[in-house]
Amino acid sequence: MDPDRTEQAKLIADLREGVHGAFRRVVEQYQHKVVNTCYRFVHEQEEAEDLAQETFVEVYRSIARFRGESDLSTWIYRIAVSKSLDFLRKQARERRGGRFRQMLRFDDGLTELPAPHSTRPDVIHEQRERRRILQRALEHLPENQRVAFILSKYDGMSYLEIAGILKTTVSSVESLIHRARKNLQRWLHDYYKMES
Amino acid sequence: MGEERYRQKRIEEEVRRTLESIDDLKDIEEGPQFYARVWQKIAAAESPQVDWLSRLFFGFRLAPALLAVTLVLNVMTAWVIVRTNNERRAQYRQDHIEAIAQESSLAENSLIMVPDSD
Repeated sequence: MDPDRTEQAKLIADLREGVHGAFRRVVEQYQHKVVNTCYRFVHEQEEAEDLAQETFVEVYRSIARFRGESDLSTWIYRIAVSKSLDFLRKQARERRGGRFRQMLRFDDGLTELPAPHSTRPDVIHEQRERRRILQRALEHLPENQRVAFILSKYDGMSYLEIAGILKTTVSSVESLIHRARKNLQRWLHDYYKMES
Repeated sequence: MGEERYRQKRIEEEVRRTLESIDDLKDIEEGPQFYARVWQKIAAAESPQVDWLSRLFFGFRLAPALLAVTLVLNVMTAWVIVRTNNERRAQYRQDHIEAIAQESSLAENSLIMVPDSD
């Protein structure tokens, strides 16, 4: 048997039995990756840490239900992605509510989104601005394309890992990422065309 | 034509640079209290569950007592209403009788007082 597999099986058994230190080992082993996975979705450090902590709370509470069909890491990242998407959905709902309130107040909403081209010359600001535009573009992608793209491009995960998280095949992941890139290019092209 | 081509090229350049900005997003470092915060959240998630369970438990236990109290209060209210109505009705009857008695007494007196025409 693969030594990694044996070690993982032991860790899962320890977690289930509540062996002292087992949970701490899991958190310490995955916290950095989980925090950064959440960060790729939400782009805010505080929120990312909060979501990562929520992920481990879920791990703690659901370990008894973990059937071991996937790697422990895949299961943890799947929870992290799910938490991040829930957060983004909630945020989108609140934004829609905000826009509706703005409509009721007859506000023109110009303060909500700054202009795409910054008048400030510094590079940091320009990068931040580009990331903000890219994030908007990502928000327009179908959810599975967005997840596959973020995990691949931002998080550097392999197609196999992403397939495990999304519970799909490697070829589906390839296709999702390809379509995501095309859709992003199209959205960005339209965006800059409108702005130019 | 040349201006349009320049505009297209500029748009493509913006798209390319924006897509490349993915690489600019550096890893963040989690706070030193990360593990402690996870435990705080676990404790917080478990304590409301206890409250919820206790509420449910006491709720079920107190439900029959609450029902009994409500029933008793309803019976008492009904009893008070019926009793008040009966008292009012008795009072009204008494007043009515007295009024009739007074009227008939006056009539009797007037009969006495009326002289015989024959």
